[in-house]
Amino acid sequence: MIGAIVRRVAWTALVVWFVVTATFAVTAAIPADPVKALLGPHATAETIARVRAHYCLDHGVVHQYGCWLDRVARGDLGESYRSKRAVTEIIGDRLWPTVQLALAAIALQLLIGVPLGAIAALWRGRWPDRGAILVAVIGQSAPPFVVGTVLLYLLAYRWGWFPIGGYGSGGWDRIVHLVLPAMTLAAFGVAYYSRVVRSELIDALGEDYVRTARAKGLPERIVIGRHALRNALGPLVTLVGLDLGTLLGGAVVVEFIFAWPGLGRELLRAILEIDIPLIVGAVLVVAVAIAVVNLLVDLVYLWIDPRLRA
Amino acid sequence: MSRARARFVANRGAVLGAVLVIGLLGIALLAPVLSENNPLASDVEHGLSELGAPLPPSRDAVLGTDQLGRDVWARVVTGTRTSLSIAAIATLIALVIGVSIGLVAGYAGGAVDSALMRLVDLVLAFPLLLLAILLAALFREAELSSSNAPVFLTLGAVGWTTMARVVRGKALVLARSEMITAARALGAGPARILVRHFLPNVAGVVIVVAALVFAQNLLAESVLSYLGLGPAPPSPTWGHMLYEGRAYYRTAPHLVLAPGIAIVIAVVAFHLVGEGLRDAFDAREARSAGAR
Repeated sequence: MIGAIVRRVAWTALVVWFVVTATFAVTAAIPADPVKALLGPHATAETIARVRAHYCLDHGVVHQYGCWLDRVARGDLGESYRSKRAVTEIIGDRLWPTVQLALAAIALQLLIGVPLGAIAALWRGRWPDRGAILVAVIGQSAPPFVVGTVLLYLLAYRWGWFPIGGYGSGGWDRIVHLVLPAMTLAAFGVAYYSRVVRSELIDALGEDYVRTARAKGLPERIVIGRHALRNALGPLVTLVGLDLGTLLGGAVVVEFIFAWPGLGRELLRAILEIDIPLIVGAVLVVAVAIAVVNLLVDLVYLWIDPRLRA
Repeated sequence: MSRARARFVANRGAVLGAVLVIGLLGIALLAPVLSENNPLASDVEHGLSELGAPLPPSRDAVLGTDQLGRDVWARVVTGTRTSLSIAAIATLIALVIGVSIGLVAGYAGGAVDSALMRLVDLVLAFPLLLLAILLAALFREAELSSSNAPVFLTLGAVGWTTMARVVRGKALVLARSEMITAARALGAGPARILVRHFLPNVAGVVIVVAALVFAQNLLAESVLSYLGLGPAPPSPTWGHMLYEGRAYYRTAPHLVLAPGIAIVIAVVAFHLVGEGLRDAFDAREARSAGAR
């Protein structure tokens, strides 16, 4: 048990190191002069010297790398070229909207995807199954902006049920604003979860323990709910963890469509404006967050599945 | 092989996908013939309403016109060619990287194998779309912006991991087979064994994964284009049409729907073919390839 935990923590540390190093390589590879970008053409020689010293630009690559590690360890990710604000501060402002969006999407994926997959498995080969498969195929093949634009056009513009975009002012208003972006973001996951649940549940229904449960005379409701479905949902724990990365990537598009003031939209703007410190900082924070969440998922998995503790 | 073909033909979804794929390839090849209007020519006089707005579908323009008065059908048809060729080149890059790494890992085994597979895990630790967006922005900076190269290089560089994993799994089993022992006993060197014995035996799973990666690349190309990181204009790709049309979704939804539906059809088609091939070859090693 301890060995398994240590191995996973060490792996996470390696991933974090890799991400920090890769982001450094990106900054080092870019030909643009960060000092000029940060200070503009009219800076005094003294300011330039100070900034160059801060970013260790007067030394070799190895020294710059050490400097970068040191700064990251102290939580200093530099300043945005555009707004001159600290990158950590910008990310701090933008993180919560994206987290809300991702959590809402995961909730929708579970609330819609699991029943859809279960219905498909229980009515295997008949029309509910075919319908669910069709929904899944389209959901997995439609790009997020197509789903988003269709939802936006019909539900917001044509029928006026939801706002066109924006963040809302908290409470109920926030939830109303959250519905369409979350549905768009969840579309792929709903399709994916329903397929996984369908195939896992079909496998589980063929197992001996299901036959035993039925032979004991348990009502079908309990056989499926307690025995089969519970075992079929195991893989979803891993999926939810892996999904966080996909959701944060997808959030770039969804936040862009719905003017959601999250990290994804900020990152896209930074990329289009070549605001290197912000790009590097945001990618770094997101990748580290994903590594940590995956670690937590692994640990949860160790806890619920004793077979992995070897 | 013929049993696999029979299984593929018996699968209605797979056949539908194959028909759609052939249709798309036909459209891509015959693009100039299929539309008499020039996809790049803007016709301000006839292609726009009196107020200068895009026209809805009509007899002159089957799918309407866009904000510059260009024929949307002609652009969708031309876009088929660009979108499919970008996805094809990207898939080819991913295939070459993935198959090489997978074969070497599976053949060598041991430390080489675990090092290469850890590399795959590290790449997967990044959210792939974020990585693609980042790479696309970097390649674009690097003076490649006038071609489609930033897009397919990005997609190729990001999309090889599944291929590497699947090929490696197959190669690990092969490396322990009697066939390989026999080849070695006959004095065949590693290069000969890899090319003559491993490659033909992994071809099945490679084709399956390639079809699924192709579908993914189509999707990813459209996402990059939609965000403004796609191929440079004027060559119309479906994603770029969406990017240009997104501001008009209220007044002229056909600007978004036409390329959007084209993307969905193409992605569904390649998915169906890939999954049909997987079931036909019974390539269970490729099961995870349907995942993201």
